[in-house]
Amino acid sequence: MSRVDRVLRWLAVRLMNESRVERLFDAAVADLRFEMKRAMVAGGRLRIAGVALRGYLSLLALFATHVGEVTVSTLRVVGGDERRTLKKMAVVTAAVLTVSTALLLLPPALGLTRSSGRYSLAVYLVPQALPLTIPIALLAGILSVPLLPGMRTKAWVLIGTVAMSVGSFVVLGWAMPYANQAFREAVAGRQLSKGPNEMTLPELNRAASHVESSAAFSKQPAQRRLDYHIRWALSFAPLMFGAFALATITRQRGAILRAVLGTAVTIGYTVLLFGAAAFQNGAWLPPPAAAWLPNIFAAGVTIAMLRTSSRQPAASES
Amino acid sequence: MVPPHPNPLTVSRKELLVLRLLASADELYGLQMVDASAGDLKRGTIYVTLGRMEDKGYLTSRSDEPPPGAGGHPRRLYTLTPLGRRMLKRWSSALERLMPEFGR
Repeated sequence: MSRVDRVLRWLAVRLMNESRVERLFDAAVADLRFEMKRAMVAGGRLRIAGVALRGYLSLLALFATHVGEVTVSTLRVVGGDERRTLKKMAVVTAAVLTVSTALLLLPPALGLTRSSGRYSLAVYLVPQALPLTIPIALLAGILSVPLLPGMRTKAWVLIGTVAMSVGSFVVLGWAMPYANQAFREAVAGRQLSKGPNEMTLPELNRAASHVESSAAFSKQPAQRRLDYHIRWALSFAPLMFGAFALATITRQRGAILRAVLGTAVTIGYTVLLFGAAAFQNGAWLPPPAAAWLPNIFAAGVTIAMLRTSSRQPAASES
Repeated sequence: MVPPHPNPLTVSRKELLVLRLLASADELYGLQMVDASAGDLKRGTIYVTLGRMEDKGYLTSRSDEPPPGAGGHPRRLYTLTPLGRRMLKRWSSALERLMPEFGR
């Protein structure tokens, strides 16, 4: 057995049970070996290499198909209680998202009405609010569930948090800069050049690299780089908040304690996020570290929560 | 990781193709089915499909020991079960009635 075969078998044993390893993996390897023998008889190094490459890729595809089948079948079997739990989480998340976004937009909308009478311009500000309100709404949605969810519910919640992180990334990388630029041009009534907040993620990266290479003594390069890293880091906020909330509801059943913990993490995260510029300006931290500090804090709290709870029995089992 | 037991009453398009291939030949290897399907069955998915069909009871498989002295891994040969034959017959006739253009 070659080294590659041994590694693939090691992976197969971890992914499948014994019967499936024998029926799926061993069957595929035996067919691959037969095909390679046939190619060797026919001759031609290129032909043998082609057969081996195709065969090993098909083994990886076999693993992916098996894992996909197991995941889909497992997620499909969601019971009535779990469906109710997921529904409640989704409703609370949507409600908190709507209310918190509206509250954040209220002051600028009132200001716009007073100054120009064009409160409709506040729509352009929605993408600015979303990167903050999405993780907070998710946190509230998960923490609102009174019962401990089962493994399938947790898997669905994790999928939801990943989807929200991807959504945040799109908002931070593209939707927010486009909306900012559209807002400024609508107010000014003419075309304007873009500032850092109006640049898309690739544009901001290019601008930071350009300034870094041309202005060695300016503070601007690090600021641009910090802006760039903050957009990446903030995209992970839903994932961080979701993981923290899942760790919390698994063990803490008290609604007040959950609310206190959720609020404390939200405040800590926000303070560190707005403090990132200060950390970086004071040259205490390099831009990537300053930008990722809030996520490191949230991950640390989640790990501490899991470690603490692993020493004590769960509040209840689902 | 073990997938939950599949529903024996549902037959996918690929499963129907495997049933047809096995009905026309007595026993086949996975790779032979891929070759005979003219691209409809893929090497990366055929073994998972065959495993699922075995779980449903449509197929059985056995290890085909290599000839003495030939060496190599024992390959797996697949055969239709009576349930697999019945399912093929029922599904084919149902498809012919519902959608004659696909049932053939």
